[in-house]
Amino acid sequence: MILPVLLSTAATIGFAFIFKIKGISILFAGIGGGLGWLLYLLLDNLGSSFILSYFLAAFGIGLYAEFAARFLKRSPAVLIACGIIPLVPGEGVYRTMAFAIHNKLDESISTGAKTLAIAAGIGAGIAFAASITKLFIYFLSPSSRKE
Amino acid sequence: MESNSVLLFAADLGQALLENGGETARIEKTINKVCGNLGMERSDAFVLPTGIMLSITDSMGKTYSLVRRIDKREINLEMISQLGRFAGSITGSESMEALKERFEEIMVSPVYSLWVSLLFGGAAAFCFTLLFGGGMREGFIAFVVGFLVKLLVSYLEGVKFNRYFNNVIGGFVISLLALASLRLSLSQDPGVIISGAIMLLVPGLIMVNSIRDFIAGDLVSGATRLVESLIIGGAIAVGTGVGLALWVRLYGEVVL
Repeated sequence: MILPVLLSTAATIGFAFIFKIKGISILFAGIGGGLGWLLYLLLDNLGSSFILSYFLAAFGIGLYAEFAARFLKRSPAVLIACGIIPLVPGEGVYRTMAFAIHNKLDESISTGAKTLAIAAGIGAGIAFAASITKLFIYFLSPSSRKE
Repeated sequence: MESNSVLLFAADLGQALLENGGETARIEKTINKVCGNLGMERSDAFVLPTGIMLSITDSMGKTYSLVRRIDKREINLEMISQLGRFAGSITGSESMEALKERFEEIMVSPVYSLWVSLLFGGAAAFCFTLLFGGGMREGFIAFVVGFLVKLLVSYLEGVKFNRYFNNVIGGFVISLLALASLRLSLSQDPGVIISGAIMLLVPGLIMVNSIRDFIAGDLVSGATRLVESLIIGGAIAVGTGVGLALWVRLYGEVVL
């Protein structure tokens, strides 16, 4: 399990450079990517459904990014965008097309639906994390209520 | 401070944020805050992924407005962070010239050279291919494929080629190169190479921004960006599919 987590951390760091991030944030972005993949693998091993695994992994990345971003004084979007990259279903896009090319329409449609469901799961996870953080800040800091 | 120059300055700031990949809801907030700090009575920014509408009213009750159309879209998250910090530090005490100077300084701050993003793009493709179960051989081929595709896509972006066809061509080249490596018996599994290299094209940032805009209540931007990410995802799939179909037609090999 250690090797995949390290690989996804390294891949995320690669993306941090592509997104032109500089300084210590690159490291934090990489940790986010590794954390997300670790959560996904743990949940997957526990036998949770794939949508729930992706949802909770994205939720974890979202929460991590919201707090790390406040520490780094950056927009959380910077860290989230890097962190979710390993979860994004690029493989699903390929398999959907590959099945379609070989006239295996049933497999193609089920893979395509799975790909979209993964994307929706990731989206819902990020959204949930952002809303929870907003609520948290609302209760913790009275000064933010004026906005 | 003169109202018209405040209007122009705020629009420039918003344009820079939008062109480098900022979230619309956050840009609106930033523009309104800057205008308020520069002494405007009221300011309403309406930011879409494709443009900015901004109207401000000064303390004399006079209203100024402006529309900016945005065509360029890049990703430079460092610029977003720096501009955000700059906007947070603006108070009415500085002169407009000083503000503009600081703004220009951020705009011309150096970015990584093309080679850095090509190398790291290749490295990311390498890592993803190993992550998806490929061996070292497949990983190195994915590195080369990722490097070349990133080079091609940046070139096409440079000559202002249509950004959707850009992704079609990217996907097409990835699948052809991966299948060629199978043909030359350099690798056993072109599937993991394609899956790994395709990650360089997927619109992750647009998707994240779309969801964050929805959460912030900015439905128009959220929907626009969601559709954009779906179209780009579809374009990648079409390109990859055409490459695979062409290969199957030419060589009759089953590739999965």
